[in-house]
Amino acid sequence: MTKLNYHIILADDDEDDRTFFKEALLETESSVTVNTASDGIELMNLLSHTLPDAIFLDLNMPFKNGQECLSEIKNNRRYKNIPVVIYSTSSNVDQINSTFKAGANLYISKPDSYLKLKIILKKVFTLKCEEYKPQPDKEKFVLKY
Amino acid sequence: MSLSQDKAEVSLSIPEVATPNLLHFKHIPAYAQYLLTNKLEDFTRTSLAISREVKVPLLRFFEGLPEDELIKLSIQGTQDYLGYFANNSIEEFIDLSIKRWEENQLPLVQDDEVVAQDISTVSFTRRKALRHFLPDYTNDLRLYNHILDEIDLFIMTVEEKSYNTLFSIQQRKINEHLYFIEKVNNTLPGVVYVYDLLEQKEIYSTNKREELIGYSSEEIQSFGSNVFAALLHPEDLENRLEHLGNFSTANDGEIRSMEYRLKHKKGGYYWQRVYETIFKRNEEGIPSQIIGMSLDINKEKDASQKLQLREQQLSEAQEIAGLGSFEWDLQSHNSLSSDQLLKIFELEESKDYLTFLQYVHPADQNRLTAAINEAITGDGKYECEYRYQKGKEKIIWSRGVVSFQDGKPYKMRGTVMDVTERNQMLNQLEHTIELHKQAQALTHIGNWSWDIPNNKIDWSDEMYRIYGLEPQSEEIHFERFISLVHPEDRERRLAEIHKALETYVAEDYVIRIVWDNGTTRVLQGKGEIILDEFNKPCKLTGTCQDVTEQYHINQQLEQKNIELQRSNEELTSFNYIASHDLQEPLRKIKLFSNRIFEKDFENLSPSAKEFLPRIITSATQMQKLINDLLAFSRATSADKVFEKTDLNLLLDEVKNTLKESIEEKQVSITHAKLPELNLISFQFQQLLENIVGNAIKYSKPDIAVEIKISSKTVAGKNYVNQGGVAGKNYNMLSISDNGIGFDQQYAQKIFELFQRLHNKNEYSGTGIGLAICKKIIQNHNGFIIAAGEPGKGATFQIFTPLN
Repeated sequence: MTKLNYHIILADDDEDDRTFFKEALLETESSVTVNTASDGIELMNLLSHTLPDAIFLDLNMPFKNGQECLSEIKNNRRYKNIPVVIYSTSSNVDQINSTFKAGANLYISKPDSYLKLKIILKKVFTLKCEEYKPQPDKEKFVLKY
Repeated sequence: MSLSQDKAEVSLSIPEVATPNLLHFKHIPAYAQYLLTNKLEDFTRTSLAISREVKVPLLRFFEGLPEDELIKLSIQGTQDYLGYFANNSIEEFIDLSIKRWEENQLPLVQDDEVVAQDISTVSFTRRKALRHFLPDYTNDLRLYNHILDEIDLFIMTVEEKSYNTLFSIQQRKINEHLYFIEKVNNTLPGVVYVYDLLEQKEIYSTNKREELIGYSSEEIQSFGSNVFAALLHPEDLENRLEHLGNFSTANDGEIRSMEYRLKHKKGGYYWQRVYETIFKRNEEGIPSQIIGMSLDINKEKDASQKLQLREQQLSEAQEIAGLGSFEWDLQSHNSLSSDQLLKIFELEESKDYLTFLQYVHPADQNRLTAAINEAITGDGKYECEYRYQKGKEKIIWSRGVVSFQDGKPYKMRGTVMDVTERNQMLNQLEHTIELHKQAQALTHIGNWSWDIPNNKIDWSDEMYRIYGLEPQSEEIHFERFISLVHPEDRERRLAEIHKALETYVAEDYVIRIVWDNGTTRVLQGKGEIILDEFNKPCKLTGTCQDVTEQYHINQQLEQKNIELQRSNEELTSFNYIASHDLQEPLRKIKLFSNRIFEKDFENLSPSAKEFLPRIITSATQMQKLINDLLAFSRATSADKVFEKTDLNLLLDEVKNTLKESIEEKQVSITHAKLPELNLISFQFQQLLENIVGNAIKYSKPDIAVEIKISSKTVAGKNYVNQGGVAGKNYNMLSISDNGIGFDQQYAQKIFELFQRLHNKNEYSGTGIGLAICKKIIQNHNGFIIAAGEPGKGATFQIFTPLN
């Protein structure tokens, strides 16, 4: 996915996580610019102004949760080609299955250390884009570090 | 044959042909006188010679006579004959001779022994003899011719009269025969017929046939060779044809007989018995016709069939009734027994009383003998029920009547009956009725029946009890019944009853009733509509049960169910909370702790340096606990979808998941090819992951971990104590390690929730992993057992049922 002037949106209601994410990304992929949304509604608003190269989507958010955003995105002709990376605390099998079914392109669970976060971000941006579009094989869906 | 009677009926009149005037001769008398005087013997001998020459058949009757006597007899006859000529009264001679013939007064010859040839040859002889001596008598040609004419006239007359007589005698004979035959036919009980074997048809039959089977002889004959196919009973046809065929080897005079059924013209079959013998043979001597007599034996057959049927019916009736009969001669002590009686007593033949008595139950012997004695000495009536045992014990009911002769007991006739089954049935019936009553009392099921036209309700005892009333304490009618129903249920119940009467379908019902003391009870019942002959409901019957307790229990159960459902929903939302909201702060704790650990560890005080890793460890432990609990609850509640699963692939997945620790601890996992099983795939993967994970976790620190996995089919009967089902086969997946093992006494305990055998500091575990395993294997209807030895290792055997 390496690309100059890469632009992504992170939707996450947790301020700490947003901060860590931005910091870690800056340290690993400095050329990537990040916009953040603190809930689903904000994300959808943002999307109507600007189309990112990828969306990192937390699932457990107020007002409009990640699952709802995911199906809106994947059912919208304008948005459906934007890769969506699920970025969730949970590694629940049901949730992995339902997001895959809804058309998400990648699933990563939030790591519990800054180091691991950096490792996984590094991994994400080195993945081969064509293997994940429109959707990867099921066994490649969950990315582990 | 003697036919003295009815001779008058036969016509014997002889027609007058020649007139006497014609035989009044002019010249023959003188010629006859001449012959009488001069040529008597010559004439006689010549006549005899001529008659021998032309072979007069009548001569055969005189063959026995010596020649001289024959001559003497003949001379007499000739003298007589010529005398009539001489007197010119030859007509008298002719009439006299004919009369003697007719009246059968001919010497040595019977009237019917004269044949036509006799007449012609005698005439020839007479003519020739008369002509023979004519040249000697006259040379006058005219006279000669006159005499010849007169001879011809004489001969003509004689011949004519003789033939007439012959015919009339023959006719008479024929008439006599016909009459005889007619009489015989009329007198015979059957039909006489002639059947042609070669042409296969009846060619003659007497008229009786029509009387017997409605078809006339002509009709029978018109059937031709189809006669048997048309008239015989199909079952008899083959026999009949065979019987006829067999005549080809019969002897003349041999009489053969058979019976068959003939169809009457008006329908129905009639039994015939035929007696048949050969009537004619053809040129080759093969029998061609048979004559027979057919007798109607229908009555005979009927009677014998009826008799047979009666006997059979009686025997059957006796057998069905288990009834035998006897006749006991009280003087000679002989007895006659019916077959059925012997069968009942299981005897080959009648026995004397003492022999018989030994099979009677000892306790009943005296009573039986007393009953018989009482009948003989008393009113003659005998009846006794006793036990009899030759084979199986039977109960015999016997009755009899004694007949007296000259005041002495003479015979006892009677019947015996095997009433064992009847008695058993009666006992059973009583027992059943009793049981039924008890059952009603025990189950509190009552019967009710509403006689609609008479508005009477019949309640069983239990029904009264159900309604809180003394059994049969009052008569129940519909209004009384409704008054007992709970006021809130009355209207509904009435509507239900109306509907049942309209639709003829009585649905199950539940009503509340109120006892006199105010107690409310709940009843449940079933009903049924009984229709009368006009298909109108005449009865509503049914059963009813007090279900108050069940009703309350059910209500409670329903309440509990609702609560359970609610708590299940709560549990699901708890799972959600656990997976997200509880994890979230923990992750944060770890995240920040790690951040400090990674970035600012050097700036910490010595004690903070010591505590920080502990914070991280505790948070990690907490995370694990939550994840395990989630997995456990998922193992309990998740959908159980079985699918064919290749254990080899499943194990690869597990190895992949545990990759990190496998590499870290240098684990070697060895296994042969594993089978494909019907499993809940993701659960079984979890199970394997837990067991293999445990083997790695509880390994000895200084030794390379070795895990061996094998699989085989075993019989459930060998593992009944561990949870196997006998008769079922299981796949046993065995996983053994060389780890720290455990004490065998904990083999069961380790599968319980939160049971741990180690301190948290030694081995990190939540005490949930094996509980999950057990849950999962239960979901597969299988079982799991563990064996361990401290310091040596552990083996887990996982059993999943096959098919």
